[in-house]
Amino acid sequence: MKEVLLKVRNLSKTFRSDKGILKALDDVSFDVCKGETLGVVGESGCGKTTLGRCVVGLLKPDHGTIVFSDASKHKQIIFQDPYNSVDPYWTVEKIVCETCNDRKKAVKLLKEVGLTEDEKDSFPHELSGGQLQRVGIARALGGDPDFIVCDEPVSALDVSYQSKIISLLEDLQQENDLTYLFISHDLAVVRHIADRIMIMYKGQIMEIGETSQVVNKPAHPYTRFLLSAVPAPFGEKKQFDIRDDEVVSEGCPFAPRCPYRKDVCLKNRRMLKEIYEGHMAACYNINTDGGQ
Amino acid sequence: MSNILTIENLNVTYRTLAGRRHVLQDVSLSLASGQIRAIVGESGCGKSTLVNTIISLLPDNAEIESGSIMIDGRETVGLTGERLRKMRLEKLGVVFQDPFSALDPSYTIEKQILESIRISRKVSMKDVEMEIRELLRSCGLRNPEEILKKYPHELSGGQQQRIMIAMALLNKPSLLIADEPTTALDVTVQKEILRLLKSLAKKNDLAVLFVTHSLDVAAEIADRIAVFYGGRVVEEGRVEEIFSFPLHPYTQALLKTIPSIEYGKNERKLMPIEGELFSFLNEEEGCCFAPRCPYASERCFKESPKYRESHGHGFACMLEEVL
Amino acid sequence: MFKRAVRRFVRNRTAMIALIIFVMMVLSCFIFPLLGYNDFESLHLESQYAPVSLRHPFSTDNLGRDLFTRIVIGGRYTLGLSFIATIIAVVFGVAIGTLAAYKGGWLDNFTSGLTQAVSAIPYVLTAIILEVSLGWGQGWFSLAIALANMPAVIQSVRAAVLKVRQQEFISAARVAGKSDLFIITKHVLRNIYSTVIVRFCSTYAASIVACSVLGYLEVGISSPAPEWGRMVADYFHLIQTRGFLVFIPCLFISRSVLCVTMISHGLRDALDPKEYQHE
Repeated sequence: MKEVLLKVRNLSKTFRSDKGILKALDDVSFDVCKGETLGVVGESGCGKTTLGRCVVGLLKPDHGTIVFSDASKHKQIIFQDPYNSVDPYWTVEKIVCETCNDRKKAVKLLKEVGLTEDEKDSFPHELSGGQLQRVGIARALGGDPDFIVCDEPVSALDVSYQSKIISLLEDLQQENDLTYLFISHDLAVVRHIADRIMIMYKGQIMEIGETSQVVNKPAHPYTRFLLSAVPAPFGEKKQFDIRDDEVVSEGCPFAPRCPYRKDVCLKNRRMLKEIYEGHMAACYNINTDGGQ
Repeated sequence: MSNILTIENLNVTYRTLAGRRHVLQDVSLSLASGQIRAIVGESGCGKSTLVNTIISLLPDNAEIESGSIMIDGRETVGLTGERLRKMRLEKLGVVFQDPFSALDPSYTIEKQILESIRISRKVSMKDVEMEIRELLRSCGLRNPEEILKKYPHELSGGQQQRIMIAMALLNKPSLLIADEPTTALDVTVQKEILRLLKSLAKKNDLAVLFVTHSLDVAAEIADRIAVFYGGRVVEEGRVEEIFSFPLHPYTQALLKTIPSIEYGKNERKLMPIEGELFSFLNEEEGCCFAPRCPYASERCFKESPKYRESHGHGFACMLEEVL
Repeated sequence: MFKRAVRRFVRNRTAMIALIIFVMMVLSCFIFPLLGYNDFESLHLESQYAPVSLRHPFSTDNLGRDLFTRIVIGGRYTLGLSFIATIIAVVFGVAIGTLAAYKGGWLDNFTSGLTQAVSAIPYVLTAIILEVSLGWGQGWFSLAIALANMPAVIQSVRAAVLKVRQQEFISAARVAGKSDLFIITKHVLRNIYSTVIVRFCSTYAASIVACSVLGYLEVGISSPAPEWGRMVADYFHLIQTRGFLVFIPCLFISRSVLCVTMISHGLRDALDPKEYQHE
């Protein structure tokens, strides 16, 4: 059994605005083990960003607990938009110094993430998106983190920078024994980097498990729907048609669109249920229709 | 099948503080009705300039040096004023990346659609109501009556994009230009929009120029792909050929750099492309990809490669080995 | 980055000319009085409307006072008092606007409600009301103009801070454990300084106008103080016979407002950070 680094229990967060109430997180519980990458996947508005922000302490959850195995664990975050996540008036070196307060270390970190010493005095507007994302990673590393929330770290980047950043994150994880919560809407990217994967929909966990299990043997209809939408040039296309009924669901949030819906789905919320070692899904169909 | 869009040897330059910069070089493309052609490239590859040139929306400091763009048999380079407006209205439909900023937030959908019809014909809502409803339905919007009364912010991103597509098709254009129409959308919605565009192209015999940064998306929708880099078409061919036998080193590298849903952790190593993206600001002699190309020889830094084509699959590279 | 802004400003011809004229105007207000042009109040009825000479470059007024001397001394009043007012308005406006926008919550609601309510009243009127209720005298005079200007400063600073606060580098600094004070001084203020500088200039222009209007209405400043607006009022009954007496102070008011506005436009173009992303 691996050592658990982060325990999240019954996390809820609700946003109130003029438009109404948005349950960004609805009773979310999961563990993250030391040294692993947990991928969080979902469409926009599923609560994945809120989750990341709660975990690093940028947002205060309404209910629930976030417990690290050891209070001295440092946590950091890498953001989606590299242009937005660095102060345009600060030099690169100063940005990295924000977390480590040590110029020598900053230069060392910049080298570690693949920037040259000449770039330490540059301002953000002189760098490309890919380079800026490296600066953001170096800043996160400056805090000597054990745990990093990567909030869509590659989705704002050009294709040829994406794989560089992914490879860099992989290398850094091995060298520094890091644990990642990797948030992304891109299943292919998460498939590539994550050990385990967590599928979210409307603030709830739909399915969680080993990446290969979830991708190859998806249990929840929503997971299957998501997988069917991934553009894959020559893989066989798994067609998955959903319905679009105007019904209100007090149970499973996916129920209105789910082709396997039963009456019970609209009424009660199914808790996560284990299907296979560590592979859990929240669906009433698992026993009858589940597995494949 | 007739060619709806024919671009020949198009050269566009920008005047910048640092001098003239070639943003499009010798771009040639043709597109027949019913066909979907994807333009794939990263930032700064010239794909937006190409779109802006076709719809004649180039910024003031840009200039078409040479070349021609024929839309439905009519030359559009040099068109101005009323004739340009008419050409745009009759022949072209455009869908942009961000539907929310393309719709005016202070008018209902109905008003906006009616307004864009009124540009070409004097009608009232009653005359065209059926037509609009039918159009919205064909664009996959199931309750046109309800949607017409709503404001843009009351609709989801997917619905907004469907409305943009419907509005682009209002005047029954022969060419639809879709500039990254799914980039701002979720994967699940993206899939639906792609499916919609495909069926519309088939049903209406519409030529679609689909601009995207993602090879996967291009493969999902297009018949043929043109890969852009540094303002040039570096490779062009049928989707299967591009994916199975990529000829240009850039295309090859690009394919190795994308994560795939087929491979999990540690099953496949990504091969990033070294170096920084091509920028027009530091233009140099020779092949634009040479600084990042693993096979580049001295010659690549001196001469610009010629575009070669055989069996409908063309590429611009000097290396003999790759052919 | 700062150097580039300066270079861009210098290249902007309109703004540079405006700056030179304005600096000359300010300097002359301080240099000429030292050269003997300092008697603005004693009456010399014998030299009424003296011919233009080196001694009387702008001739003299109906009471024989040298008009040029009155203008340069009046410049100290108009430009000086409104400058003090501007400093007060900007310093407090930035502090309040930043705090309100950064902290949010009731403080922000209260501040933005109040500023909106106040800015619904024409601001010269606000200044008059304030001056009348605060008390007579030059200190109160500047304060009244400052307070009248403050809502506009607070609103624009607030908008700028709200924009900066959303940016993710603020979140990054919070994750790094930085204090609010650090984030405000090192990140937020640094990112809104171009807004503040441009605001400073436009507030100055507005203050000059307010100062002249208050002077004209004899609110807070009274004759014989040669405040430019006051001078316009003093000579207004002579507008048909001796029009230049009204025209010259008017010219100085409008010229200084125009110069300050031009400078503020030049600064805005020079400081806009979007610009150097394209360079």
